[in-house]
Amino acid sequence: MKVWISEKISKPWRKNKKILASILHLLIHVGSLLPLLVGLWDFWQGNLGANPILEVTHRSGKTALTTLILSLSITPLRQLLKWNQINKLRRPLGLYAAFYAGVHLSIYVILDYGFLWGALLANSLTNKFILVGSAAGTILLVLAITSLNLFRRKMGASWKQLHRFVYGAGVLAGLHFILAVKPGVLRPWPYAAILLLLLSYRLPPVQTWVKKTR
Amino acid sequence: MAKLDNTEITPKDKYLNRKEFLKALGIAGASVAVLAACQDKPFIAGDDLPRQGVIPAAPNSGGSTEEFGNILTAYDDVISYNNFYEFTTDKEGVARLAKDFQTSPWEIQIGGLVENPGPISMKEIRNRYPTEERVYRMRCVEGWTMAIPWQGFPLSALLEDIQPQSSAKYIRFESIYDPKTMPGQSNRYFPWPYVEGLRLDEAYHNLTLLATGIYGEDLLPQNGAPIRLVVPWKYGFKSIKSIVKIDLVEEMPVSLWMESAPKEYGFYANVNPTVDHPRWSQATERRIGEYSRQPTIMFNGYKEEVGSLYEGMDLRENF
Repeated sequence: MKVWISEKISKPWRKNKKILASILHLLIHVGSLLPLLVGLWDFWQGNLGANPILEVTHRSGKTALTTLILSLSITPLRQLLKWNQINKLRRPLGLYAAFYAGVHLSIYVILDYGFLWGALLANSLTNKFILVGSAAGTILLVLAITSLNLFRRKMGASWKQLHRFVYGAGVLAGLHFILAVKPGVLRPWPYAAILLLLLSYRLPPVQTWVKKTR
Repeated sequence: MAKLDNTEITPKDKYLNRKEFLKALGIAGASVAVLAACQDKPFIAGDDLPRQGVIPAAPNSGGSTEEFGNILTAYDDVISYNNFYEFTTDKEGVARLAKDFQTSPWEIQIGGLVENPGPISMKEIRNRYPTEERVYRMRCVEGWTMAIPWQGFPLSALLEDIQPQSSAKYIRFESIYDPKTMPGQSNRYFPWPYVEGLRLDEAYHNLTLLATGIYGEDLLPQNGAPIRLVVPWKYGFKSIKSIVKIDLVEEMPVSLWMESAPKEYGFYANVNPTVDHPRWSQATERRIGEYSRQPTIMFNGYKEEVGSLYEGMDLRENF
């Protein structure tokens, strides 16, 4: 009975993995562009509430974090579901994360502070979350640029090492959110929990276990 | 430092409501950033930038600007953008969750070191204390600010009736605790109920208001109905909402924020651009309804009125 069920599910699963990965690929592009389009529409319509700049700051930050989390979940899904076709989703997700991080930073520097470099510098010195966020953004920017095939070929083995910094970006991005809200505000914690889970998956003992069970 | 200059006053025909402004922004595209960058007075909005200026058709709203010439915050914004963690930490979610909050009947328990303790009902309060309109700036510790026409009466009027004893040094306020109707109170991180306090001389100050309305209307639940404190020279969180208990005490009260984050929130919480919050620089602020930042002014612009209360005090130490 048990065998029959798993056969019934696993057979079409094996057959359709490739198609499902392609559908997912499309969904990722649509889903990642949607927050930008909705944001622009709400901006145009004046639907951003009483503090529109803060609202778009929060939205872009959450979208950056979400796409980063999704990009970090590809490898575990690939390994656990033996679904190699989804590996190609990592790059677009990472690029969207870098893109939204860039939007987030631009809103802060341009719309929020209107290039008031003095005030921006003062903020960076007094507020830890600004420093932490800037570090996360810098990592994502470097990884986005070096994601070009040109760099990948040129850099060889060091490319892989460099791109492991995405774990650091994940830690810093989660920390940035936690430090940015008042203590007792729970909004960052679901993100932080998922990030923690995804990063723990990369720990050597967990990896050993995964490889053994495969 | 004391006052922004008069050129801040925007002629009425320059007002645009937010929707129109956003459309203008959309058309202008990225030029907003350029505009902001090109201002010669970088911290102060240039007159060429239109102000959001929806003056709601609420009765008795008085003038349309406060004494520095800043446009009053739109009524819609005042009732939809609220920090009231008893409901939710989401500022734009408070109004919906607070919609059915019961504010009648309502009583305040007066106690502690007073000659006339006991409960006082809202009905008695309304009968006994005639309200007047006061237009105050309200500066949130998060860096945004509003200008609001309140209806209320000076706290000193109540103090004269309840008669603090000579040993009383501070006044302590408590908000309602009712987790059944206030879902945010199930967040156990905070030591509910909300508590705030003032030194007695601050409490007696003529600017210190017990407010029961805004824009000529009774307070809505999200704004702290039926009665709240307004202390305009301090960060907004000092202005405790939905008060059910007032005690006169000898020791400095420990507020909810002092207890939950002692390094971030002190007892005084005077608006002060030179003392940064660990999370935010307090040098600038944004008026709700506007886009560029303004410099934050010492004591939120009420230095002439309240500066003497803190003479000789280290305001960095007593933050």
